[in-house]
Amino acid sequence: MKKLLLSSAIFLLLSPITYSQIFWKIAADAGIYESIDNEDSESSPEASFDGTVGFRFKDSSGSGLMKLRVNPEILGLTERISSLRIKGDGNFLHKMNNFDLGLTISGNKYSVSKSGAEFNYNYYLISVDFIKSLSRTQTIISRIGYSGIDAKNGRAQSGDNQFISVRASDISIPGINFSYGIYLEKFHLEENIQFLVSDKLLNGTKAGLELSASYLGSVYAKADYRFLLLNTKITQFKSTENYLRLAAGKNLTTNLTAMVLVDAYFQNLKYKQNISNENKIILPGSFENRIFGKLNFALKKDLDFYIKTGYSKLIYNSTSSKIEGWNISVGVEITKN
Amino acid sequence: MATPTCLKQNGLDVKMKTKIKIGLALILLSVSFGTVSAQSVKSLELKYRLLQLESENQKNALDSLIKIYEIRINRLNELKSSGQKEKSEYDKLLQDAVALSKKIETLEKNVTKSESILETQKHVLDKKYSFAIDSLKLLETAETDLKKKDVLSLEILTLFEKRILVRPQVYSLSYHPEKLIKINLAAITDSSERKIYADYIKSAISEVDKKLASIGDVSLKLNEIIRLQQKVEDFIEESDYDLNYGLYVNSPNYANLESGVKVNDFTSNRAVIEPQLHSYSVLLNQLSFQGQVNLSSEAGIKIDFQPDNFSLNDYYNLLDEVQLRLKAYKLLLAKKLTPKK
Repeated sequence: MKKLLLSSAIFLLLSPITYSQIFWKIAADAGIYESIDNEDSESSPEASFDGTVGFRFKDSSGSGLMKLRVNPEILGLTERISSLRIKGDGNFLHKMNNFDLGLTISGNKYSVSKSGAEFNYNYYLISVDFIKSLSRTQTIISRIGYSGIDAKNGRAQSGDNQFISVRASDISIPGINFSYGIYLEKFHLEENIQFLVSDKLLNGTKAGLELSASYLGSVYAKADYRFLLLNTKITQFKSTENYLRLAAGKNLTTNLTAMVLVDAYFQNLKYKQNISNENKIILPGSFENRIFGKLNFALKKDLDFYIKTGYSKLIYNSTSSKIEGWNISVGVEITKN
Repeated sequence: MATPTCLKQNGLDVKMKTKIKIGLALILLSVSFGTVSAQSVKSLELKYRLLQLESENQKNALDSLIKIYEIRINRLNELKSSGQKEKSEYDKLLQDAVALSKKIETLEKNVTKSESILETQKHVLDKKYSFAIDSLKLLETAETDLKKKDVLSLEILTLFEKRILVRPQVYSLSYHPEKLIKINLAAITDSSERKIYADYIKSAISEVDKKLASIGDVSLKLNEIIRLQQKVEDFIEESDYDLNYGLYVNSPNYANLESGVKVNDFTSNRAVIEPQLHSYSVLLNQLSFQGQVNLSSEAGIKIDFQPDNFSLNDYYNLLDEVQLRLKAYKLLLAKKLTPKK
């Protein structure tokens, strides 16, 4: 996080800014959370606060955006599930003669506590994009990046990866923004418990396809899909990862907007030999399958009232420990753009 | 106090009126979508989309040719200025450039032709949609069932959106503002001459009113679209923490850096917005003169009318600015008609 702030500050100091804007958003909601644990479910009240502050700027040669977000949540008072998410982001775009150069820096800190057990997760990412317009409707985006994690959930996991993707974006079909590309990743993980491999390290590669489409009109809809083949010492080449995200929204009236978000993650690992659950690969991170809906009512230009509901299932270690539940909450949001 | 019979009578009247209105609307609807038109709206929409695609393709081809042509010309200039003219290369480049220039000329003509056909098609669709909207509005007013009213309202909104996509661009003011501002009715002694000038000013005001209504429509719809896109992106972001190791889910969206998507990315409107941006720039220029009253605003909006660099928010702000200036201009004209005391 410190590195992120420092890089952003240096970037700012070196940029001759011609336009800048501070923006912020505060949301607070309360509702009911029902956890689903071993076919036993229990409802309890929940509360959440979400605050973001950011800075957007622009000069003749590009633009940038930095923001910091803090989101503490209490999910279920009886089970004492609470979480804290902190996220810092920086996005910078530099326009050059023949192409544009983009830089993304992101840092996440996520901790969940459930009945005394802790799950801590830190994630950081840096990537550089080369954006080349081929025509009025076609753009090629090449991305190269590095990300790292450090997770503690009873046992410690850490790792990093390098990835590269090349993506073509096409807007020649009226109303639709379509992009497709290839993705290649080399990853490295280590754990502090006995792993199947003797050195407790796992190196591997992932390669596959990415597809995205969006439509902006009377509805706004987005879809992202990624299919990856996974290759490690302990898995067969047929092992796959699928990730699908669907998001859509529609204005029902002038002030009322309905939105839905679906995240689905399917991992199909084929092991080279029989191994116990304990030794199966769980890549640190989120395997959260979820569906969220939100009904947003604009009370004023910068003031919204909303109702949110959703179901999510997060598996956070290889013994299938999970946080699963659904919730419904109402809240208010104040925005300054 | 009204007797029950009177109430019944009034109720019947209301019902009769409602039925007449519904009947009228149905007739209008059938005329707009059915018997009168040889082509259905859907086939017209399809034709319009195909024409749009064709026009886009031609523009892309033209852009590419212009780029190649510029490369040839630059190379020719380099050879000329360096003095190392290799005749064979120079001649070949020259021939290429001439051939390209002819191709560009032909393609430019084709682009102009396609745009003209596209404009005609837009006009036809605009009429169809307007007629249908008017009819549905009548139905909506007459409808007492709230659910049915909502359905009609949504249908109107959908047609309204479609109409925006095909609305002819807002042309510049035909009455020259700079000249109008200089007219001083009080100084004109001849009554018939004063009347001619007064009529002239009234016509200009009427034109401004029409433009204000048209821009207001677009601005309203645009605001809804911007809000929708912003809300959904915010919703995705508040649910997203990039926790998928190695999976950076969202493709980079640098448009967010500049507060909203680019007009050029907003593909469904691109063909409409580009010429409109140009028209608004002409309109703003017309209203930016230094007359007796300075109409120029201090809003500091972006006057870089390249869709590549223009976000939907910029476009919305631009419409706001144009409306502000038109209102100020209208006020100025209206004052000229009011005799000074």
